[in-house]
Amino acid sequence: MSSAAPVAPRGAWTRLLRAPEMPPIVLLAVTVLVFGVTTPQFLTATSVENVLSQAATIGVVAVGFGVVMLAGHLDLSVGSVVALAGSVTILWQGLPVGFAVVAAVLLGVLLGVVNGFLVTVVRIPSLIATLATMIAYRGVVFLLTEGRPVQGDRLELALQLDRPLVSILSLRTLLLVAVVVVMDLVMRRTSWGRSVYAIGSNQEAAVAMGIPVRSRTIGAFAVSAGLAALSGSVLALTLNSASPRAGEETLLLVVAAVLVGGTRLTGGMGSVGGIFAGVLLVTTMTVGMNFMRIDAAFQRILLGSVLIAAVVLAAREEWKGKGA
Amino acid sequence: MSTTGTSARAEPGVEVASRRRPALRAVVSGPTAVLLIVLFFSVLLVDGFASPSNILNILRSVSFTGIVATGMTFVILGGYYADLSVPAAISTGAIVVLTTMSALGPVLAAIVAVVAAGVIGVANGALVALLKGNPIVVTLGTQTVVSGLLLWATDGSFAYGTSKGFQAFGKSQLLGIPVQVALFLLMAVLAQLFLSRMRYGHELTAAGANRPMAHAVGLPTRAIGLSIFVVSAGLAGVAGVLIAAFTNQANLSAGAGFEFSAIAAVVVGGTSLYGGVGSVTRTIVGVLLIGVVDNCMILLGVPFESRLLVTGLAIVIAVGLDMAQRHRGERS
Repeated sequence: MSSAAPVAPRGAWTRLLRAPEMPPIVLLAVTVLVFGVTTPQFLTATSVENVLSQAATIGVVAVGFGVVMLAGHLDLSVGSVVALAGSVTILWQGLPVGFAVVAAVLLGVLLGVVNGFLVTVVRIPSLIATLATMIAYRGVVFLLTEGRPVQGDRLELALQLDRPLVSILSLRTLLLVAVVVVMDLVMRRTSWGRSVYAIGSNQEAAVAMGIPVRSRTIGAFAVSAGLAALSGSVLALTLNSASPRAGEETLLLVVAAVLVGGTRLTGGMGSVGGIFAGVLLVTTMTVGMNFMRIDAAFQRILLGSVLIAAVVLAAREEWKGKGA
Repeated sequence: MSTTGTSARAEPGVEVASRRRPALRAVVSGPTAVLLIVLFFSVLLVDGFASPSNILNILRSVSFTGIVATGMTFVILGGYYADLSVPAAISTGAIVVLTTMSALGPVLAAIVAVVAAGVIGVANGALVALLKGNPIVVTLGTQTVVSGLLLWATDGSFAYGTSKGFQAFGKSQLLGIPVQVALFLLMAVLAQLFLSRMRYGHELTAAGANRPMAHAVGLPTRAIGLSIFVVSAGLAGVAGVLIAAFTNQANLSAGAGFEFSAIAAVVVGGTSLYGGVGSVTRTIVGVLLIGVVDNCMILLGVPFESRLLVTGLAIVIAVGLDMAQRHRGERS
């Protein structure tokens, strides 16, 4: 019953309430309400800005990660790609900014193609293949940066990226919105997107239908790593530095956001809109906890618990689906 | 344009595979051969490799990874891909033993530490084997939760040991070999006997090869799954205690990176990531191979973290070869 599949006509309300995006949206509303009541200063433009700028970093990664998950795979290497793209963006400062970002994204796409190749051609399960490339890509980052954070020399640009452009929307946030809108259209309206759903829900059927499963899957991995690279590159420009450890927490946040956003762990079900809601939910929780001065330790405990709860609930759904 | 599991794979694929066969088989079936070759060249080409103190160093660092990898062998052989929470279990073991020894005495503290680590395994096992959570995501989650708990308990600072005897134990030797090495060998041998000689081991292997089938014929797959994660976390706790005994200090990152080196050691040794095929003996070979390569890179001055690249590549190559061998098996 993915949002891409044609749904039998029902009442508009029923359809709205049963939409896969609903649970994260409701949870998001509840979270905002709870934080708003307990900490009044939470409901200010500053905290909204905070949420949006954090969401900008993980959101772009999460959309790509979600595409791979919709295709029935996992891409654990996104955090390392974030770091790698960030460090090359800073290291290639000789190039004009645009070129540096494009080059970083192309590098990301290439890394994604490697992931996809390992998964579809060498036929290593994605969990393992991307676990290995996660380690390997991180190794490359440390080679390039010699294990030290690299400073950039574009402070002005860094300030530009995070400055509110239109009311509370910074350039970075607008990028996130653009990625969400474009990828939502791609996934729902193009044959490419629909075939990704098909592959994720039933690979054998997708083969039988004549969908080029191998190239579409490689494409999904390329999108995932490309978006991770875009996010890492822009993040590095915003911070005006790149750390070899960048993105280590990203994977965790992204998996949590994508699962909470209603994406099925085994693929075929979910939507970019739901993922976006999941991202906002996870970042609102982090920012809200910062506001309430909740310890970093408890934030970790909570984040881990959310992840575990999401994956266990996902397993429950799976059982229901199989009628067991 | 075909994909996993389709019978549409054309003849040319078979041709290519059969031409590659002898070379592949030599590498696949021969992690030991690779180890010997690497050892040969290391002794010959790397300055300072063959010195007694360096060999001792390799063996000691290999035993920490080896104990963790022994537990990881259970996880992978049992068909659960990986336990990413071992760093948390190692840190728990190390921190608990160091902070409780003044009250409990070192021996009891060590037992408490291993039990505390084992609790993480119970949680993993329950979430994965009983509630059917994806093992990688679940163990990533418990890793995060436990590291949060450790951060809360220690405030990120180091714990130090208070027992001279515990420290002396960490530096002691049994029959001329460091105590860590002796304990690693002891545990590896016991684990291998469990897997190859006991009913439990056979059931674990069967469940790893095909869990639905094992369940259908009445094997206690859930209990096996639970036990697998307890063994993994418990052994990681033991490694944590031994690390604490050797360094006499630990913080919450004491176990960082061990999950990857352990997984690498298991698969490089030739245990299949798809479960059901493998042994602790193979893991010993894998752990030695990785330890030797790692040591050579240190001696050659390769920057510390970039050795990750080699670990990652080693996993890709080992799993790729395993995959190639599987497909060959399917066809013949």
